[in-house]
Amino acid sequence: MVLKKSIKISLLPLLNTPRLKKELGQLLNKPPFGIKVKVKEGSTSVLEAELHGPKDSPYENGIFKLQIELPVKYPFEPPRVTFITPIYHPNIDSGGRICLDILKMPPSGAWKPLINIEGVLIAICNLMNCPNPNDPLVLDIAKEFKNDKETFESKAKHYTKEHATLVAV
Amino acid sequence: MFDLSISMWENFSMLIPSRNCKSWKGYILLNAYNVYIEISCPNIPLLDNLKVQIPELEAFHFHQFDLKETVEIVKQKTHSLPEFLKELIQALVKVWKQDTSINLTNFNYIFDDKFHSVIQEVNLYGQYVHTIDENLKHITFNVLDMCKHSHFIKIFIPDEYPMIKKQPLRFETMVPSVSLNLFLKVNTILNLFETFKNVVNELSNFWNVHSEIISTCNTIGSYTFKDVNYRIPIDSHVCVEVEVNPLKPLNCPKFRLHGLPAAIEKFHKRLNEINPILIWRTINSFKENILNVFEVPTLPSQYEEEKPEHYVTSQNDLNCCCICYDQLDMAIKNQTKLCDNEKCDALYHMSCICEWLLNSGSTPMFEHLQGKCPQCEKDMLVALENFDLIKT
Repeated sequence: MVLKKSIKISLLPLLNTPRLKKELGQLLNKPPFGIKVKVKEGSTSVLEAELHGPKDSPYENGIFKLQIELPVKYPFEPPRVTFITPIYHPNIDSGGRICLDILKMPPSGAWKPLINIEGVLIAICNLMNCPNPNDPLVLDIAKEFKNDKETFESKAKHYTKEHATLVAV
Repeated sequence: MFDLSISMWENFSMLIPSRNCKSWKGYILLNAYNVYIEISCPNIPLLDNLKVQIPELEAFHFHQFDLKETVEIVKQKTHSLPEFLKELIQALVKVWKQDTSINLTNFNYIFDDKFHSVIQEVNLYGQYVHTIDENLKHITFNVLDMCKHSHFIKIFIPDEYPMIKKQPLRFETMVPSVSLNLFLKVNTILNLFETFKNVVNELSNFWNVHSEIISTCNTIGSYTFKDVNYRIPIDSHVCVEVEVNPLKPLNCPKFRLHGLPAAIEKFHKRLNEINPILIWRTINSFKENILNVFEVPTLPSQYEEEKPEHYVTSQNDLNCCCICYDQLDMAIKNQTKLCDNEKCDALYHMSCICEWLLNSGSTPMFEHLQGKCPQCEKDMLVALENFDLIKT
């Protein structure tokens, strides 16, 4: 009996809460510039987003795919966001994990229930534009970003070209 | 050391020394063929640890010939690098003649005008060469300024060089953009390097100011020698962007304030009241000048650039909970929580704000939950009279 109940909770149609209905309505109809969001097919709690690399950054012209997993306790817990497209960045590791304060719970993080998915995506765009080498996830890239920006930029550009650019067939 | 370089250039004009004259790259003449060679001699002028690489010889298998062994033998016999090279060339030529299996015409190396002209130009400034591409596609020079910072310029050498001298050369370097104009129409490596060297010298005051700002002013972000705009925090929420004129770096820079409108207001006022140019003194350090202009005691090291509020889209819908976005019935007082801060318009379901405060680490005490309003960050206290209302 108890078991059945818990299964039922985890399959709760999460996207049906008033909050997510409103958020998604806005994200799908009026997405911010350079951001596209859709619901992952067959899922009730996972979204897929596409970010355009910010202009004047080494990620320019790249299109980056992200996965946004909404925890059952959203918005009391932050969404779990990961990069699907590989990216060369001091705060994003090879598994796509992102080191960003608003994606973590307090006291170490700065997530608040007033931040929404759109805010998170804008913050990630900002992070792409201005990496934070003082709170690195990938030490080597952070060191390179600090000491040899030229090499960092050319590597990041190369990576973007290699992984985040769709080749016209 | 200098004498040695001269004697090397006189004898082997096609070898280019590295910056510290401890390694040499280029071509030596073997039986009228130019062969690429790399020599490293870390203990120059002594020949200990001397190493020689000749990729083209390694590609061909000489019968019973070991370059390493030959190098060791010649090393024992000679006492200086030029002497060593002369002996080595003789030894190599001998092997060449004996071993008929080597068909020199197979060497697919194109030795042409390009190399000759590049070498001649570069030789004058050999000590500044940092790296040189084996295929001579590009060459990088390194010039030290008075503070011993390295400044690099990478010059791309077109295949037709020097035949198409009319076109300006392509290059990459890090200098402020005002100085870049000087480089744009230069079409020989020699002129381009000389221009670069002059620019580095002319900007010596700027390099000083640049490193002074970065080392003393807690600047935000990272900078290269190209940058003339620096972001300096003057308050925990305000930073000033200073724009230094690279040609007159000691003069008062231009200021631009960044931060929350309410927080930057007083600094705007200050800038309008005073004339920064009159306060700025060249005898003061850059940091002192900034402190004087903005009347602040210190430059904060902890700077919060953009508060998370920045990413919070304000909920214009009245009577909706800021957390779950669902309707609120204001009439039922004990189900709603208003922020204690009068200036904040946040509105929460009692259950939503309690769940958040519990989630973010607050523990109930004396039937109250203490925490911060997620919107304005001010302390808030929530009475738990209706604890049973909290969703589980």
